[in-house]
Amino acid sequence: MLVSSQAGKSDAWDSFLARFHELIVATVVRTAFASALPGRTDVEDLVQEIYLKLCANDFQILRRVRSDHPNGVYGLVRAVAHSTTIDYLRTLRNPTNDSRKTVSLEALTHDLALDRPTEGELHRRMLFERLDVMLGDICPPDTVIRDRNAFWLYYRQGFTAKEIAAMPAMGLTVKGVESLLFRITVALRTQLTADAQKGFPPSVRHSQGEE
Amino acid sequence: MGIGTKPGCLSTFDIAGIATDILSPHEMHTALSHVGDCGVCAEALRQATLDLDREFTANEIEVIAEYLKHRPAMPASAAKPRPAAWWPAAAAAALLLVSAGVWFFAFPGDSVPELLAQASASARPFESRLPDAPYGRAQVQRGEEANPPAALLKAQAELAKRAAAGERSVDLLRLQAWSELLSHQVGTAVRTLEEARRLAPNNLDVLSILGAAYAAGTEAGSEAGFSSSIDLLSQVLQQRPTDRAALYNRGLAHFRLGQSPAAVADWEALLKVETDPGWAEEVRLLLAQAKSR
Repeated sequence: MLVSSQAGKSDAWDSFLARFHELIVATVVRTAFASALPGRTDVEDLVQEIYLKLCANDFQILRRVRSDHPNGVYGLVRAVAHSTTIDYLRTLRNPTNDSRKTVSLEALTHDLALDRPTEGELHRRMLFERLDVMLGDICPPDTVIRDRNAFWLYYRQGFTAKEIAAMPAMGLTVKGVESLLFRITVALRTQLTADAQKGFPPSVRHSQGEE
Repeated sequence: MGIGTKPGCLSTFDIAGIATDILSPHEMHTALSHVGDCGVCAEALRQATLDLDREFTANEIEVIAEYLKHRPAMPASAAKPRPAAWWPAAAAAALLLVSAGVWFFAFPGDSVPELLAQASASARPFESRLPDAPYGRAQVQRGEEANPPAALLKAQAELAKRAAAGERSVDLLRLQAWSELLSHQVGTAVRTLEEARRLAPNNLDVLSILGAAYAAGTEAGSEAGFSSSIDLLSQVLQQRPTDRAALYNRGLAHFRLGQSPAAVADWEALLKVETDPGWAEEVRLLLAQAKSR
């Protein structure tokens, strides 16, 4: 169907609409309503804009579809619909072009000073780096990337197990996420205790302390 | 458009790509690593996951149904210069939409199970067979177009009203999961059914559709889902040995796991009790495949 769409055939376009129009409208409405958007015109504009994006540059965006992927084109269309809606909402909230604003040098210097990490923040970053190295050691090689991402989403970004499980890429149920985090936490605690007993200071990276 | 202001901050498309699982493994790893380190992108991902995963409200369903009455034309920038050929197609599409609209409002007294059965009969989005659903051709395997949304939308609106009224019954959860499965939300359906199972661990109707959902969610090749499906459906068949959906789905799970003799046994047992010619025909085809292995 994609190949036919790319050739601009009207029947293929009808087929595309039959399959994806509901998905696009539903994604726009759900995303927009969550942000208390608008009126009917906004939604209509958004749906039109999504079709423009999908068709732009000879359907370039649809060429991103990985045919071996179970979500395939459905996920891609949902992603385009959601991101277009979010961009639209952000534009509505910030109608002025920030690049035209002028910022005083004093204000900029003040902001930069605020961005400089404090001593406590530096210690925190060093601890995170150490934990990250330890995660690479304690997680199984075939799942280390997923496990590490789940750990940081939970402990640094405050995601719940349910929110992590809702991400298809994780491939875990809520119970699975909870179990994973429990196992990692226990392993990290054990490793940290062992390091402390060996007398390594907290700032020493785990990899440097290995025999 | 970038979400945050830090170097490497993700675009809104990347964020949605994580939530919809369309990124390559490398892209996913890079994106999630950044999210783990960036509060702004993390919050955007949290919102995107919520947006794309949550249930529709009754109001949203009504709004969606309203918008679906209008279909856009292909953007001029993308269409080939064949203007004359568009009018018949547009007229046919308009006729189809009017018919769909009439159909949508023609059955105000239909129950939710009846509406869901109607939607299931249009086309099923996976190989699994849903309990109480009449035969519908598998959309995934045979490339059939999406089923008309009216019956499903109407069922979802009814379910949303019942939920909004405070109903939290096992039956409601089962019907919600059925509608989620028809909406390609297999993961959400499994979670809904696990909740129903927690409330009623021995409810055979719940176990049967949960078995179907696990099989539907693992068509990409994972074995764990099929094993779970077999365990659940075996519990059902111990007490309801002629449960047609359970026999069909357990046979399918066995077949996908390469256990052809077990699949043949289930499907032959099913053919003895099957009354729907559509399902019977499909089972015969599957049986032929299983026996040829």
